[in-house]
Amino acid sequence: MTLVAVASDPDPPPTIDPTVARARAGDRDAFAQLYHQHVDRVYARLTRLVGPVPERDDLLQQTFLQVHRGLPGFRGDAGVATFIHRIAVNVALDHLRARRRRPLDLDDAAVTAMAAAAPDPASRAASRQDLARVFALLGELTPEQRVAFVLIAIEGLTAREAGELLGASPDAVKQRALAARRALLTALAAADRPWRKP
Amino acid sequence: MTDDDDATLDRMLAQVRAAPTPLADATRADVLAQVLAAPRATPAVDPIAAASRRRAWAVGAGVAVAAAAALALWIVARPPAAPAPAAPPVGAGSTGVGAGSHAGPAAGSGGAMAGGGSGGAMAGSGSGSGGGSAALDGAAVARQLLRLGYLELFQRADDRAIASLYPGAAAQLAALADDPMVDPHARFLAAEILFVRQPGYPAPALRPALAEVYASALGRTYGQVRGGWLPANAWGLAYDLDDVGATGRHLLALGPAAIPALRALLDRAEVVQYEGSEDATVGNARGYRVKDLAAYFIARLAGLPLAFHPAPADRDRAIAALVASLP
Repeated sequence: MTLVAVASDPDPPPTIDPTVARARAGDRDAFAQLYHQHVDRVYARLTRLVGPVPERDDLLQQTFLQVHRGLPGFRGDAGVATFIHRIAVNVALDHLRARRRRPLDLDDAAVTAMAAAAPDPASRAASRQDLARVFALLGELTPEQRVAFVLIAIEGLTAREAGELLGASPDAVKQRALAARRALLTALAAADRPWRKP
Repeated sequence: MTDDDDATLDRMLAQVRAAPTPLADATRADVLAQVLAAPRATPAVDPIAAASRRRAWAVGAGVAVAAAAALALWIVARPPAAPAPAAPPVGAGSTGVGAGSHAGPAAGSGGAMAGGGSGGAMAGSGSGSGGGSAALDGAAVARQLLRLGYLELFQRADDRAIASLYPGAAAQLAALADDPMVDPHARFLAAEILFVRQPGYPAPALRPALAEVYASALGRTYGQVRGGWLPANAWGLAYDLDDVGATGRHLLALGPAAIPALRALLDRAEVVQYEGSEDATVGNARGYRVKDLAAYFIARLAGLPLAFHPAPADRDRAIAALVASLP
């Protein structure tokens, strides 16, 4: 069994660019610019991490609130994208821990929107079913396994990159992702097991 | 599982990878507006505010001691038939922030609870924060923490309880968690919120003091302990089950500095209690005692092996061997 790996997101250079510096100093326009640069990718990452659930908008807000508050302490040791996405991943992880073992609550409209790229109604319906199923399966994993798996197997990060976002060693992240894949395959193989929690 | 399962899983993952995740323009604008409307936390401790706060504490503690003494004299001197006062004076331990609001057998939890003046003592700690909790001073935040408790804060489906305190009262939470004169229960809850919400928390210098707080919390796990603060699920399913809970991870994040505080719990034989279905079935079958969990975390922090034994006597022997091997 292998983990899917595709091209990773490039980080900006380690020096602080002028927009970040101005945002750090409290310039609202600069922060808005930074926000618009990153918000779509953060939203996409949150969606993949926690699923198309109604709480995504709140998690997005939490993420950027923490970015806003944390910017004065941002030293530029890592790129600002890493800084922002590290916060997003932690927000997602905290949400998953809080939601652990609770019934899955997907936002039907969001699932439909995710399936909208399929070319025809039948494909869209199938895609919708698959998306609902995969997020239900991901919901069976521990939060740590799920986040590691999504970052590596879906988002295509390397174990080192995922470890940097999670504050964990690459080996630990890789082990979690592999364990997650094993668990998902086991769940898939159990054909008689209902994949959606009551 | 078969190659077909592999292929099915990869196909489904590819769909997630390729699926668009459109963000509505209204949400995009609304989130930015909310973020920009929220005040920024003070990035560093303002030494003048900190000094002012220490002075406020000193004054508050003095007032509290005087008030408590006056109350004691009044109680001693009052006629036997006199009715009890409707409410004790501010600072006499009635607000749940200071001394003695959580009596119980927890070892290592009471040492820092002297003082008890809470009414206005923390008023200086709220500077630099705002948002939804801007009007709350430190004492009010502590009272709210104790009113909500661990379950309301961390085990509900939504995070409204936390949102009522963070980020609005982030500065007060940080001040409470770091203040040895505050009730350790309130300190623990404040630290838990910061652990969950504030990346990088706590700074290394804070960890030894927080270790005492977390040891207090471990000593107040539900079960045979009177006045428990939190279910054993928070610490996780220890030993070979290796499923450390969120609070257990925070304890581990404090590093080896936590070992001395945990050692104080190694004589605590009260059995802890897990809640829910899965954790309760597995965890309660183990019959972990406070000292078993303390020993587990010591072993993890020290990097030493420690196996679980079903018989308590065998566990005690393993714990004794662990202690003997500690530097």
